[in-house]
Amino acid sequence: MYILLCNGSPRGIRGFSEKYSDALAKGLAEHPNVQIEKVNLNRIAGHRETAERLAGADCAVVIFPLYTDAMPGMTMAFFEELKPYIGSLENISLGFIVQSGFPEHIQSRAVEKYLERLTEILGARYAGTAVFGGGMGMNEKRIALVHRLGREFLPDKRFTKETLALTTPMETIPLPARVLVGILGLTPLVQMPWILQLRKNGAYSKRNDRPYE
Amino acid sequence: MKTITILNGISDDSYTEFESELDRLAKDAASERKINIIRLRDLDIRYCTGCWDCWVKTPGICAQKDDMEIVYRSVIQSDLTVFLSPASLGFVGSLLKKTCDRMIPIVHPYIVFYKKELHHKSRYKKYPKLGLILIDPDKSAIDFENTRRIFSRLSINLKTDLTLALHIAGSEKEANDVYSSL
Repeated sequence: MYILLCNGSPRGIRGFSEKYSDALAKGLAEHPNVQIEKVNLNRIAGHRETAERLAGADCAVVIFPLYTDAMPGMTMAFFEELKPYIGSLENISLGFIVQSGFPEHIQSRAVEKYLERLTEILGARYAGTAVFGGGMGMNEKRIALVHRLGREFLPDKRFTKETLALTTPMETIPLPARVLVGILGLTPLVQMPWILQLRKNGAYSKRNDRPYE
Repeated sequence: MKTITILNGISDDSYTEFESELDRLAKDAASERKINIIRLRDLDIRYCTGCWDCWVKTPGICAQKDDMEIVYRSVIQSDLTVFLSPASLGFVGSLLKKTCDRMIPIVHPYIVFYKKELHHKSRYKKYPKLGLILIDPDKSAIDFENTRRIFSRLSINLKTDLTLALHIAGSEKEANDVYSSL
């Protein structure tokens, strides 16, 4: 069985999506007779060849970070390369992993809905979408969860509902947490990761610039 | 005067009659409206690389040196920004999507609660209302709704509202409908 994992992050191997791809590949590799190939979609010139490989795969999972509420533009450009294969993908299971910086599932619901429709338009079998919120980093617990998604993907060639439910359990942030973060927001604490980077780059004084006003 | 920016994400010559008519109407716009149609396929617009320089190195300015400056200036100075694209696999095409991705310099990296969700803080004092026009000769209701939902999310991220959503087939006659709705 040939499984293609497509990293749709513009940051390629430097981004978090690569870590999801690695963990998923390890889970899939626990099954015998599985050939896993990983590709990056941040090289636009390679899209046509990757689309051809996907068309010949048994399963494919596209992993990407949420960019302005959907897939990155270059991932959409890759999807467009699949148009010539519409009608010949019926035996392929197509799944997705969406990871976003914000922790709430609601941030990714719209694209999740779209990805199911995309699979239908392509004529492939929908293997599900795993949404991971709060993805600024990968801890051991999350790596284990993605690994489990990979292990359970076979033999049915789809993510299991039980594990999908664990990926981003928080639809929205509960009121007590919102109040707490609101209070912390009055201090520089919440913004500290950004403040540190701005200071390191000597850009803190320009943080509120409005160059196109 | 109401200032309107239309980001035309049509990637080829499939809808030239519609585009020509819309261009003509925009040029003849009444004195109370100024319509700037930006034909994205004629510009050099690169993909967002996710470097975040626009947040942490050169706040508000993208590291890519291409034609997006034209887009930023027009969007920020408009009262209404309309995203126009043919449907592509049930969504907008990659030409318009990559332009959307490049909008992140117009917000601040800092995190705030907005509409009970976490979002990035505003950078500018005022943002344009947003509009969506999906050209889809098949008029698939589900594709329009999915696309509208994603752009509605985008409007939350840009601290504004999606006030216009049109689903058209792309005929010359419909350019009038689009113009009337602006």
